Amino acid sequence: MTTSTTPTETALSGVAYTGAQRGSGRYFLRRMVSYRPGFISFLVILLLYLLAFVGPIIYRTSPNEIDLLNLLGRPSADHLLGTDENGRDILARLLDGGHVSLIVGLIAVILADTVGVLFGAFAGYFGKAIDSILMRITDALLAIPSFFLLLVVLSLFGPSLTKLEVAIGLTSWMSIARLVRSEFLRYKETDFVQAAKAMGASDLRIIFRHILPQAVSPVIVASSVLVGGAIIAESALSYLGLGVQPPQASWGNMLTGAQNFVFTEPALAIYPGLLIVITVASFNYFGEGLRTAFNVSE
Amino acid sequence: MGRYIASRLIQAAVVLILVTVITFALIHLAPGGPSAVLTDARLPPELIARQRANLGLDKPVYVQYFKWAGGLVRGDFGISYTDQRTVLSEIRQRLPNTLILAGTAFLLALIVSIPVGIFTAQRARSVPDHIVSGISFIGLSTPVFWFGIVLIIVFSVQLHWLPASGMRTINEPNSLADLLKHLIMPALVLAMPTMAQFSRFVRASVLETLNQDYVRTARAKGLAARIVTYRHVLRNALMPVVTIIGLTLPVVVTGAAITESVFGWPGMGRLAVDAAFTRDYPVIMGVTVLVAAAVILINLLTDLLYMAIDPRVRLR
Repeated sequence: MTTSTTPTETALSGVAYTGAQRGSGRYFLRRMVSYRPGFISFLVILLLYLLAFVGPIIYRTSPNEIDLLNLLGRPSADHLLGTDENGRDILARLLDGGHVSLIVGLIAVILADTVGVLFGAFAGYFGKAIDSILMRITDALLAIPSFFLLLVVLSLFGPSLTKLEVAIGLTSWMSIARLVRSEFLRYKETDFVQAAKAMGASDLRIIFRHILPQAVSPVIVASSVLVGGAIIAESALSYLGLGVQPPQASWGNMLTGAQNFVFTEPALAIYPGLLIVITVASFNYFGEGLRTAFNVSE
Repeated sequence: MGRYIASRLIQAAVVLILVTVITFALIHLAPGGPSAVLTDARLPPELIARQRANLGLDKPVYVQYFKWAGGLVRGDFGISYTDQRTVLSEIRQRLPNTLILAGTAFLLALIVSIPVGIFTAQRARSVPDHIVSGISFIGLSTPVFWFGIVLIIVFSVQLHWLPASGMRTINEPNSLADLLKHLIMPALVLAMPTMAQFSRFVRASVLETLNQDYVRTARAKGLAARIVTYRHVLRNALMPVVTIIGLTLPVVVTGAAITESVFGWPGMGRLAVDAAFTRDYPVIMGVTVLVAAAVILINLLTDLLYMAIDPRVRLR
């Protein structure tokens, strides 16, 4: 993905937008709201978090309680969306599973950002041997498809929620590292960096106080897309049985159970999948909106 | 140019060596690695010591690494823990199945995305362009395994058109038609994310070329629109597409592992997933290194190919 422009991005490119305005909060908001899909997906993301975190307080049915008399039950007053093959409430499990996916996505990406920023910043700033070493490690990890890395890591440490977050985070920082490195290469020879050096600022101060702030907006844009990727990775691993373990619900492992009943109860497979698509698409569109608002090119 | 090729080759070799080091170190330095799997902690200590010695696990880690890496060079990937066969024979048995699936998916993605990308670029910002861009965005946001389940619901459960899993019908003579029937759904599932990514890329590339001066010149001198499209635009716009073939390979391989698990396709990805369950480290390591080597090789080849077809890169 090097150069690709969304229709709106191109439409908006007519709007005068100079570097000086980049930091202007009101201008950022105006552009954010003007990219309709991005703004709508922002609202959807808010709604999803609200449902996952506040929903269980209002809808009090337990996600793990088994109603043996009501296996694969139809929607009823007790179970608004019916029950699954073990007699557990589907709506409660969807809310609980959403909680898991949204948290895993967020924590994994915070971790990926931290590692990626450190790698990219040091490689880009110091250059030479440090750059070569750090970037070859990045290349090597990029060459191994991250899913296979995840398989290795999860088979070693066994599945658990924390390990899943750490594993996904530690296998998805490479794109951030490359991004940050290129920003550092761009800025390290600029006048304001030279000025800081002349005033005797330390390397660390220049990295974190002078150059890193310039790289924040592209990192935020990339992170939004990464959250979507992390949620897909979590759900795929949980679907395969290597991620979130039952009875704890996750959208991915709900689909494992559902696949065994596709012939009789195909509806079971629809809800969790649709929620994954809606969530991931929202993060992707939100990223696109941020890209427009920050005026970051792809 | 010779220097460029040489430096690219060295870089690829270094990355490949790093891949083996990382894979090996990850598995052998972590708790729960081979010694935990192969030696039962309930056994008496002298038995454990003997077993560790037999398996070479008592040697320093770097000695173990060089032994393993030396084997890789000779095509010896070690022996599977679960069924005592060589990892190479397992891979050899599964690899063709994965190549059939991934190859078909790749072709499918190219056949669909190139015309779609060109079409949408020529009608940029029109209603069809918006629709296609929306579809490809959704395509990128859909987990492959769920798309697979949905196809099974529609075409196997509701319509009874296609088999829900496997590669061949049991107790039936092998035929191409039978294979194709089993192949359609997994190939389509695997192709979906690549298709979405490719068509976005082709569209962007064509759009960029359409704005070039030489295209305007060609039009201005009165050339037929068709000639401008084929001779001036497509020739230049499709060249960068070569480079993303290498970049999307990891996506395809990952997708293959998941798709194979959904459809019970006996390929290499499923081998790795099964090995992750049984902690069959030689198999996981073998498949991982092989996949990474393929990615590195394809990226190297696309770089060199790009250089061969685009003289501008050669001059730099």
